[in-house]
Amino acid sequence: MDKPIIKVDNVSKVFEIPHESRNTLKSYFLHPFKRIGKERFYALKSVDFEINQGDFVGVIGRNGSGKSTLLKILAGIFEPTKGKVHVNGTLVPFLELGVGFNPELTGRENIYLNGIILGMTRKYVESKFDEIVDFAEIRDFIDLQVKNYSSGMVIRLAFAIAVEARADIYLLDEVLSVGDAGFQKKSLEKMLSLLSNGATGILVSHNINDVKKYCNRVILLKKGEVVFDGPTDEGIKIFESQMGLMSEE
Amino acid sequence: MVLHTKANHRDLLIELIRTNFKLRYNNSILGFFWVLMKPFLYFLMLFVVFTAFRGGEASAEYGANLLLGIIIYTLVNEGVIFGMHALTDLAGVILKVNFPRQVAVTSAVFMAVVNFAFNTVILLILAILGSFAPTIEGFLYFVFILSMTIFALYSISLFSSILLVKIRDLHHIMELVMQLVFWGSAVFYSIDDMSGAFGQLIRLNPLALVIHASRKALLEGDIIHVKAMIIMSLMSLALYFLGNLFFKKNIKRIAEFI
Repeated sequence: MDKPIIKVDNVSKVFEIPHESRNTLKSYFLHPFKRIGKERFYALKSVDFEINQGDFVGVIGRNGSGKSTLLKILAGIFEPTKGKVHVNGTLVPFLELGVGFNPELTGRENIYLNGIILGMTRKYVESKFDEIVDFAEIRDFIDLQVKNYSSGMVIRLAFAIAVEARADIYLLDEVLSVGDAGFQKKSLEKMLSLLSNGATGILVSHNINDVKKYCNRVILLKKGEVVFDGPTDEGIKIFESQMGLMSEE
Repeated sequence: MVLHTKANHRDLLIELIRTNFKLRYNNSILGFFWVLMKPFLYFLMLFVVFTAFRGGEASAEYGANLLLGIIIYTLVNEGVIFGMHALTDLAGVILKVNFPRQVAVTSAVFMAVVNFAFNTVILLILAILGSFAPTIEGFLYFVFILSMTIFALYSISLFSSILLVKIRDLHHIMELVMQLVFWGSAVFYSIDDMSGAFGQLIRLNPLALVIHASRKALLEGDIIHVKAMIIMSLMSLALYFLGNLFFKKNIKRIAEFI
């Protein structure tokens, strides 16, 4: 039996949304004893699943179903309110590619900064520098400040850095449809080659065709709860029937 | 390859300091020379003004005392302000990647230390010009005081970096507090000249004692305020342990507030 590389054990995430914001000293001093009501929003409710090494799992669901929150919990950015997440390997998040870039720095400087933030050593980034630049197709612009790059160039560069992390697990949030058609094909091939070498992928996407094509399993979320966890085709059918019902409603 | 190793944490610290440094002086004509220019121009301004107040008598001794006071105050001011902004300055990254957040605080305080190291060049020039010649004991005592001050700055930043995320106007308050600290830290005067209730009050300010002890140690080779420095070291240590607990408890949910 395959050993789970990720184990999500009864995880819930609650966001407490105050009825009014209280982030200035004035608000603390003027009404020190005032109780501010809070709305408790369950982004995830008792989510339970395991993912084995080499799996490519699609996480699908409508907007606000908890997909991105789940990815952020797996990435260690958010802490679960209840339950535990066990990750047995290195992990690289592909969440909103290029957001961590500093526009004032050059492409070259951002490669080092971003690579190191993702967990690589400077020496390793140095050894992979040419591969990153070539993959991103930005050699002529490498010493230009990133603020002068097109959005496509930024995303290509961010993707090229992140894939070089050679992690055990890749968290992909809508990243297989970035860049132009040529880059999409190239990035997909790269990702598939990493997965065929034993890496594990978790893909959040609204593009059902991508999920159908590449994922061997689907987790369907609805209002923070797992309503289906199993074969891709079956999960997509349920999701599509839900969507159909909702549009009929 | 293995991610997030100790070597990576070291590289991350260096890279964040390097980036901070580049960004702070990016697009300015004099660039990094502002690190040296700022305290030096500040020194010139205060030197001219207070020499005039003192009856127009310009002495090298007063100059050396004033310069050392300014450099130490600049270290503390920058350490407090940079440290407080350590997490908010990296908000974009904190929301997308899980990396050891404490490195952000360390790099911010380190940035102030790097600036201080550059500023000591001015002190060296002063030494070469013959204004003072530190003794070995005095120099070592100065290094001890400095280490304790940097440690205290780091410990304070463990609190303030988290608090700024939750109380945004802390930034404005700290700017005012640091102005007050400047006037009350014997930067442009000496504790020895202060008497009465105000003098007593000034002597309760740890930074005033740090500046006074540093001046005496480095410029005259005298070792003073030893008891106060030991008490401050112990307090810094306590602050560090409390700050660490506070930081570890609150950092887990920081991405939800930032």
